[in-house]
Amino acid sequence: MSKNIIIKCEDLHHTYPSGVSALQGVDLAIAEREIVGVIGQNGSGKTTLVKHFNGLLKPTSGQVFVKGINTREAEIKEISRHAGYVFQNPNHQLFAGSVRKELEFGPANIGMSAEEIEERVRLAADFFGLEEFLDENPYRLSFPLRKTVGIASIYAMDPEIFILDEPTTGLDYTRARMVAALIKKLQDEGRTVLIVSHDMMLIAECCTRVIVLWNSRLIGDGTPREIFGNRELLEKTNLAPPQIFRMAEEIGLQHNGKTPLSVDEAVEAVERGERAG
Amino acid sequence: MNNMQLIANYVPGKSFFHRLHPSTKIIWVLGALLTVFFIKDPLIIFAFLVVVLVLIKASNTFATYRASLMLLLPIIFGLIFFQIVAPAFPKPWTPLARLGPFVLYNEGVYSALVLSLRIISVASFALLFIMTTYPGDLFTTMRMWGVPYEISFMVTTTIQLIPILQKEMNIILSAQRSRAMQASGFSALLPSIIPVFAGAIERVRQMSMTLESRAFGSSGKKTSIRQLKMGTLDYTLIILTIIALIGIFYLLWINQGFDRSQQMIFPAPAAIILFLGSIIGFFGILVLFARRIKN
Repeated sequence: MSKNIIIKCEDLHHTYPSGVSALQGVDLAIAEREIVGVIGQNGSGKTTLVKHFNGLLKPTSGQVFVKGINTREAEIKEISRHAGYVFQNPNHQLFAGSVRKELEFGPANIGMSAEEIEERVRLAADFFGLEEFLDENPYRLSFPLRKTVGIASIYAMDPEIFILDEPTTGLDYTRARMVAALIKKLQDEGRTVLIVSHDMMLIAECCTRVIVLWNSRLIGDGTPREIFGNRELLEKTNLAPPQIFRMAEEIGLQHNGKTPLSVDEAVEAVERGERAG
Repeated sequence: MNNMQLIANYVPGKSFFHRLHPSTKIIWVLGALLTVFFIKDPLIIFAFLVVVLVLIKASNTFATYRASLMLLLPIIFGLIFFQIVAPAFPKPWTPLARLGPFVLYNEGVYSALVLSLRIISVASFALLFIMTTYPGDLFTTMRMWGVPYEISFMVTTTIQLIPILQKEMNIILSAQRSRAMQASGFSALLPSIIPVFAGAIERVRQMSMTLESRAFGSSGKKTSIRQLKMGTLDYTLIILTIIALIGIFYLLWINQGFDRSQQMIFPAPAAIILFLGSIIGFFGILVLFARRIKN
């Protein structure tokens, strides 16, 4: 893994105008190509933290650097070409008469040429399997497809960093697996992805690193296996590891000497008959 | 930008105004509305405005009030501009100064002052009412006055939807700015307004279904969980208000609304300053809006 730091927070504090202190001194460095899961209970500061990474929020004190740009000194317009933020509810951003126009909006805003835009829209449609819907009105599509259009509209802007806020909420099992597959594809393209989610299965399956927020502070940072294996940490934050991980721990199932994180790994472990001890 | 609140809504509190029965406050607002629109002396209206501002300050609602006033100011500045060059007064008009193509009239300055002070003071008083009245209490009061259930419901629901839509608007602006949208100007309008409207329609549709499933249209007498009682203070205040209103209208009648348009002669520099001030103020507010959305 490359050690180039792409996002850096130094003693980041954020207090909302209402007086609520949502972040109290977060230090964090994220390297290129990392897939980082951000977990924590509601109100722990997850969303506040990631909103600093494309300049939607500015630190009350401390610094945030995205690709070396100090977010205090840059406008969202400049940062958003590097860090794309996908909102949880696609209805909050869809406005155009067709999926194609929706995908063109971001690239046009950052000043791509007409040819580039066409190329990016083609790539995004191909990447997300949206070719047949390009001329549909986004409001006529089903919710999961609208959610896909939401991610695709950011992909079209070609950012190195993706910030996904609850990408699987409201999706059924099959659709959620498709999101996991998309995140893997983003990883293969060498992009950095941050996932804010309560979907532990998604986190376990996709992430190379998990950070845990609790009471506006960063209290856990490690590989998914380290985090999910840390009972004390999980109990404190009231988070539960994915079912399959818990079951494997319970019955002592091992995959290459480690507790399996995904169903696939567990199945392999059962077939090999690998056990702890 | 996180809290771009433009329209005032209920501010919880325990001030004198908060504790009054909504009926008392409604009578006050209506009384003030009638009185102010019959008074023609800008000084008296200004004095009334000062009283309202003191009341707002005393109710701890000044911050919310100031934010809502921003929406009113462009209208006021526009009004001042047009009144000065074309007063709502019978001719002949007395010219005070000439500024390029514009002639500034004495009657114009007078009516600009009267009209803008009227609007600001009544709007401020109405805002004070909205900011200190719990929406549920407004509903109960309307029912008490015999307003049909559906209409009371419509009015209070609309008032309560405003803060929700504002919150939604803020999320939508964030989402579009994350796609590098130009934060101001006409190009920002469609991408932000369409999701707001689509969301509002969807929300209202769902709400109507929820209401149906909770027997909204059922017949028979409805009871309310929130009980409101008119206190002695409220009865006293209402009676005093009615007596005061009769007195005020008698005074207004014999003094012809304190019309001073013939006595008040404004110096030409004052007219020029007011005129230029309205232009600068109008565009200043627009720039301020644009910057607030941006940051």
